[in-house]
Amino acid sequence: MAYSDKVIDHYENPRNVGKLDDSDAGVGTGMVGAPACGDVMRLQIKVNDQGVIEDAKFKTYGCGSAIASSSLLTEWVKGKSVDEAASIKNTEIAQELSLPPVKIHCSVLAEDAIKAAVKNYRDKQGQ
Amino acid sequence: MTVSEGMEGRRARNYFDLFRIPTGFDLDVKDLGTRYRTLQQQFHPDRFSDGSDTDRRVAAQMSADINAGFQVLSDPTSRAGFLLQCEGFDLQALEKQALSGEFLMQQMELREQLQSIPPGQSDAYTQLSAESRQLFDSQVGIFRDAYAQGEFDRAGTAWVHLLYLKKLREEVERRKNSQ
Repeated sequence: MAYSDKVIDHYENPRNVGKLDDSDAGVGTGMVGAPACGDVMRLQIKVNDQGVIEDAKFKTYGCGSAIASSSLLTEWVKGKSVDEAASIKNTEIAQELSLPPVKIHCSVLAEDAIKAAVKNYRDKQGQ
Repeated sequence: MTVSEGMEGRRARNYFDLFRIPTGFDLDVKDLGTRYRTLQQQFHPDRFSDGSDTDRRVAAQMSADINAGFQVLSDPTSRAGFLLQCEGFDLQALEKQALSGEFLMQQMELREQLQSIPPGQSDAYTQLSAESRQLFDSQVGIFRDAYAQGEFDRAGTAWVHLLYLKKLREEVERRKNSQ
C-alpha cells in the first residue's frame, strides 16, 4: 500500500512528539488504542487561562498512518479553543492525509484521542 | 462418498462441532491437530474430483471451513474471541470498549521499552519476551475464569487485552529476530 507524501512527511518528521506534565491542571491527557492493530496513542494538550490550547504533544506506537494522524492533529489543535479542538472530525484528518479506506480507522483513533484529552482536561477543571 | 453434513453451505459454523470437541476454552492443541489432518484428508477436494458439482462445491467449502476453524481454535486469542461470538457478542463492538487508562499506559510503556532496546542486547529482548508472555498468560487466566463463571463482560475485556498483548509479543519476536 502506498502512503501519501503527507503521511510520509509526518512519519519521517513527526511534529510535537513528547510528553507534557500530567500533574499540571491545565494539561489534558487522552490515551486510546486500537486492539485489532495493537496501536496505542497518547495525546496531550496544554490549555491556558483563556481556554486556548497553547501546546500539544503526542506519542504513538502504531503504523505510519496512525503516527501521521496524531502528528497532524497536534499541529491543528495548537491555537484552537478546547471546543474547536474537540469538534475536529476524523474525516478532515483522513482527507488532509489522503488516507486509503483501510487506514481510516487511524484517523478515528486520533479523533478519539483529542476528545479523550479534552474530556480529561475538563474533568480536571471540574467543568 | 456423500458429504451431506457440509450441506449447510456458507452459514457460519461452530468450529467446535466441526472438530467434534466440547465447546470451551481449554483444548488439547495436539489432539486438535490430529483431528484437523483427519478432516482435511476426508474432505480434500481431490477426493471429489469425480463427484457431482454439488459434492465438489460442498467439499471445497468444508475444506475452507476446516482450515479456518483450525486457525481460529489453535490460537488462544482467536479461540477466546470465537467463544464470545458463540455467546452472541459482536467482536467489533467489543473491540471499541473503553479500556482502563492503566492498561493502555502499561501497553505504551512496554512498547516504549521495546523500541529503546539498543542493538545487540538480546538479554533485554528475552526479558521483555518473558514479561509480555507472563502478562498474556495472566489475561488468559482471567478469560478462562470469567468465561467459566459466565461473566462475559469481564471475559470480553480480557479478550481485548489479549489482542494487545498478542500484538506486543509478535512485535517483540519480530524485533528480536531482525536485530
